[in-house]
Amino acid sequence: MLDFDEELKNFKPSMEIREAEDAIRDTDLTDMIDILKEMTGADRPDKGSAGR
Amino acid sequence: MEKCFYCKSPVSEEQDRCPSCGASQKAYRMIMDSSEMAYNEGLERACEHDLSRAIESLSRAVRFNKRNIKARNLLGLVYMEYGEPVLALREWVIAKNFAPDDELSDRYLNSVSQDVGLFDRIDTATRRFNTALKYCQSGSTDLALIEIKRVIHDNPGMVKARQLTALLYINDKQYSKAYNELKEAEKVDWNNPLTARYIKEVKKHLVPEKKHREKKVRRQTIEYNDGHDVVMIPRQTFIEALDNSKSGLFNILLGIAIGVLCFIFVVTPTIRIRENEKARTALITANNKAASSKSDAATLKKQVDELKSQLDRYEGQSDVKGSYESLLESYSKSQDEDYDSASNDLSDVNQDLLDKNGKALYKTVSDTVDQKVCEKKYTEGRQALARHDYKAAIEAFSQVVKLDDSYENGDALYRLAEAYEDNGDKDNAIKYYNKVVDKYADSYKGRSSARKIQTLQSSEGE
Repeated sequence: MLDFDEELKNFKPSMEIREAEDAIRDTDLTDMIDILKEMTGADRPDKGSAGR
Repeated sequence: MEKCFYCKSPVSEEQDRCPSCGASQKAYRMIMDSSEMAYNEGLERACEHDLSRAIESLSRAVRFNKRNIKARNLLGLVYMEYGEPVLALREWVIAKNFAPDDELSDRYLNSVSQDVGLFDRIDTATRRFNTALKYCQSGSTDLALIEIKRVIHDNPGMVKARQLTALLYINDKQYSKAYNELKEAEKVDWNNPLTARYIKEVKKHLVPEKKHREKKVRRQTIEYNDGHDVVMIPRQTFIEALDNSKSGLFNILLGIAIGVLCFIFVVTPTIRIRENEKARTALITANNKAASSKSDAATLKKQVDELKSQLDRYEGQSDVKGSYESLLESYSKSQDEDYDSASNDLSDVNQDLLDKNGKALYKTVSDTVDQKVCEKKYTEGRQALARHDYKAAIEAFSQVVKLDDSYENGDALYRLAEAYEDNGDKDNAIKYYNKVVDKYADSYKGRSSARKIQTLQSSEGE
C-alpha cells in the first residue's frame, strides 16, 4: 500500500513563467569539458591561464 | 584538423595529447563522444515517447557538453511535451545563447512567443498544479482533486498532473479512475518509473475487483436439470427479457398479467357502475313502494277510524233495556211538558230494538215531542230573526227542519235559508232556497226562493 504523504514527496512544484528568468540565470552550466579544462589547468599551473 | 580544447592549438586526430600544452585530447574526445551517445539515446527514447528517460539522456548529454545544441533543443522539446514549459524555455534560451545562429531554437522560441494563448493556458495549468500540490500537502485532497482536474483540462500532457491525480484517487480507493489517469500518463510517457509503480499498485486492487465482478456475472446464470442434462441459461433483466424473442413463455405470462390488470382497472369499474345503478334503481322502487304502502296504510287507518266511530255511535245507543228506559223517561218528561229533555232521551232510543208496542209508543211520544220542540224552536227562530241574531235563528230553524222540513208549509225551511242569507252564508242559503223551490215551486215561497237564488248567484259571479 502506498504511503500518500511519502509519495507526495516525489512531486515538486513546476516552474512558473515568472520564474523563468531566475531559472535561466541560476542554471549551473558547468559541463564535463569545463571540469576537464579545470583539471588540465590544475595539472599545469604554469600554463593554467592558457585556456581561459 | 582539430583544435586543442584548452589552448586551441591544432591537434591531429591520432594525437592523444596536445603537442603545445599537453592537455589530454583523448579525455576530451571521450566526453564529446559520450555527449553524442547520450543525445542519440535521448533521441531514440523521445521517439519512443519514453520522455522521462529521454530527459535523463539529454540532460546527461548537455552535462557532458553544454554546447550540444541538438541535445539542448531536443531536451526543450521533450520538456514541452512533458508539460514543463519553463524548463523547455530555459533550454531553448541557453541554446540560443550558445549558438545565436541556430535556427531550430529560434523557431521553437518564436512558436511559443507567437502562440500567446497556448502559453498562457499552460502557465495557468502550471500555477494550478502548484496550488493542487499545496492542497495535497495540507490534507485538502478534495480541493486538490478539483484543482488538478482543471490542470489536466488545460494541459492534458502534463504527466506530473496525471500522476498526482492518480495518487489522489488511490488514496480515495478509486482504483479504476486512478488506472485511467495512469494510462493517459503512459500515452505521453510510457516508461515513467513512477507511473509504472502506481500502475502496479493499482492493479493489485483492480484484480480482486475484476474477480468479484466475474463472480457476479457467474451468479447471473440460472441452472436447471431437465432430467438428463444440467442446462444453464443467462439470467436476464426485464428489458432483456422483453427483447428476447425466445422468452415466449415469459411474454405469454406478461400478456396474461396485462390482461388481468386491464380487467381490474377497466372492466371492473364498469361492472361496479352498473351494479351501483341497479342498486339505485332498486332503492328508488323500494322507496316508491314504501310510499304507496304508507298511503295504503293511511287509507286503511281511515277506514278503521270510520268503523270505530260507527261502532262508537252504535255503542253510544242504548241497548234494549236502555232504549225502553229512555223511551219511558222521554214519555214521562213529555207528560211534564219538558220537551227538550224528552227529545234528548228520545234520541238515545234505538227503534230497531223495540217491539211493536214500543215502536207505537215511540211514534206517539216522538210526534208529540217533535211537534212541541218544533213549535218552540220555530218561535225561538223567528224571535232571533227579528232581533237580527242570525246564528241563534239558524240553530233554532235547523232543529225544526231536522225534525220536520215541511214544518209550517216549508216556512221553517224558507226562514232557515233567509237566516243563512242574512248571516252572509250564501252557499247554505242557496242550498235551502233550492229545497224550498223543489218542494214549493208553485207557492209564493218557491218563486221568491228562485229569485233570491238568482240574485245570490249573480252577486257571486260579480
